[in-house]
Amino acid sequence: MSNFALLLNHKPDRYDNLNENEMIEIVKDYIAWVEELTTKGIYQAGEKLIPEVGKTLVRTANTIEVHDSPFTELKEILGGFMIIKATDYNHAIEIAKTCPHLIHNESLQIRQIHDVD
Amino acid sequence: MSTDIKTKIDKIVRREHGRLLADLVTRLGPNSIELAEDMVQEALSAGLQQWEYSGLPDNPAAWLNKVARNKAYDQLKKLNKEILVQTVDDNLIQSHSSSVIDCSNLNDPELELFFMCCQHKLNQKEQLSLILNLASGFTAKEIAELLLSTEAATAKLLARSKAKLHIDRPTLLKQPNLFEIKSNLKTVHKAIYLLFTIGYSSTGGQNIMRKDIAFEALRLIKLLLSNSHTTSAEGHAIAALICFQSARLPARTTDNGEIILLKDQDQSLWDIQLINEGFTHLSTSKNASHLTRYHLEAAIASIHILPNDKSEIDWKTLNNLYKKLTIIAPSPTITLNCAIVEMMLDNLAAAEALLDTLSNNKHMTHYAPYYLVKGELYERLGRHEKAKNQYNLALQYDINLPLQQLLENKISDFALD
Repeated sequence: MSNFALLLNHKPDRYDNLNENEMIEIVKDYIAWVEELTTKGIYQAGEKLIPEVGKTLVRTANTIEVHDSPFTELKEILGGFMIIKATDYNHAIEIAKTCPHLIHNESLQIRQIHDVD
Repeated sequence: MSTDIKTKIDKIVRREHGRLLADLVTRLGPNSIELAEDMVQEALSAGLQQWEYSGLPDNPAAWLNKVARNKAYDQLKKLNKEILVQTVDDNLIQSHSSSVIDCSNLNDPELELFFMCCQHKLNQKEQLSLILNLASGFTAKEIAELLLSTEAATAKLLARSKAKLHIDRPTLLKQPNLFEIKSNLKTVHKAIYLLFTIGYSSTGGQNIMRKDIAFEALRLIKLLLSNSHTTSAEGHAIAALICFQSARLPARTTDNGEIILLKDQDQSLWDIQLINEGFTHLSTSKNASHLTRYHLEAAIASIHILPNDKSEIDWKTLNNLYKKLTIIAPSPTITLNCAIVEMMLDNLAAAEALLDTLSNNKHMTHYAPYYLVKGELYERLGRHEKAKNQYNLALQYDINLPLQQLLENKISDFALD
């Protein structure tokens, strides 16, 4: 078993045109999925990132420059990440396919986490 | 499993909306009710979105409370309104010291908010709608269903009531004094009664009943009864009613959430402790100076729950009680119930006559249970085609999924005839 990171792309305006109930219904799908995979021992961790561009640090010859955004537009940003346990990429894909994110957003990326052992 | 979690989230959102708002209003002062409302909205939204990734925290209520409070504080800072905070605090201290009894004597922010919404400048419908919306977090649609109104009209009514609060803010939303508590008790009773009604028989959505809301209503009424300023015989009657109805909750649905009709319910699943509690409240409620609808409704519920053989429900006594209820609290819903009782007594013609009086009532003609009863009546009269039509009409309106399945089964059974 290895750990895999699900990097979830997020549209910042995703909830903008929804009323509270519609939003709660979507969120419930996610929480239910996370809770279910947690009880199965698959879900390891997850964090939401604040929906903003963040900072980019670049080292130049003399100094370290701090930039606001590597993005030209904000149609999609990294919304957060989840860590799951899976046997291999195929298994991780099967799990990720059930993630409500693919219903309520469009894409996510899977990366295997380097296991030192 | 995942349904459990979804119900749990519903419970947290519903339950905590009122609590958070009440708590914030207590902290910021009643004049900041709109700010508090916004903050609760934001905290819930932020909380839920974070939980998408991290799952539920150990104590969601405490988590939400902390976020809401921080957000309110940030917002006040951002608006550079330290002065406002100061003023609000001064007002609070003032109104506390000038009251015969201050609100904190009620010992529950949610009850305090209930009473705050009962200001005399609002009419009763506005007060009720506001309580259900602000203190209990119900949507305009849900409130409309309960008060037999339309969603659009209720949304307008809520906006208007909030505007009234806004205009009269300095005087309107102050901590209630003893006189106000006494004179607004009836409204608070009605609000708790409605809260219970929502929990017991919500027809919309997939959750056939929101047990937590029903039990929340029970908690609130017991809280009122435990306070010497707010206890009353009428309150005991409401408590009895809630106990009797809640006792039957476990028997009302199958494990799959399908509805079980009263006559088919497994009585061994009824909660004996709640039933006993109900009878204690019912006997205390007899110290009343006059009979209220709550007394009659509690008596009706007690008949359904008396440990007779389930086919031996005392429909005759029920019929008498319902007739009294029609006089004290006439409403289309009561008439509908009268029709059901007449139907059970096999007075099918009388039942049909009662239902006919409702045929021009625009609330009933948009109300699924009306068509359900009509359908059942026609079924008993052997007019299957007419019954099918009524069930199809019922399906057009907002009914819960289990009931929908039950009806669809019935309709397809008719097709086999």
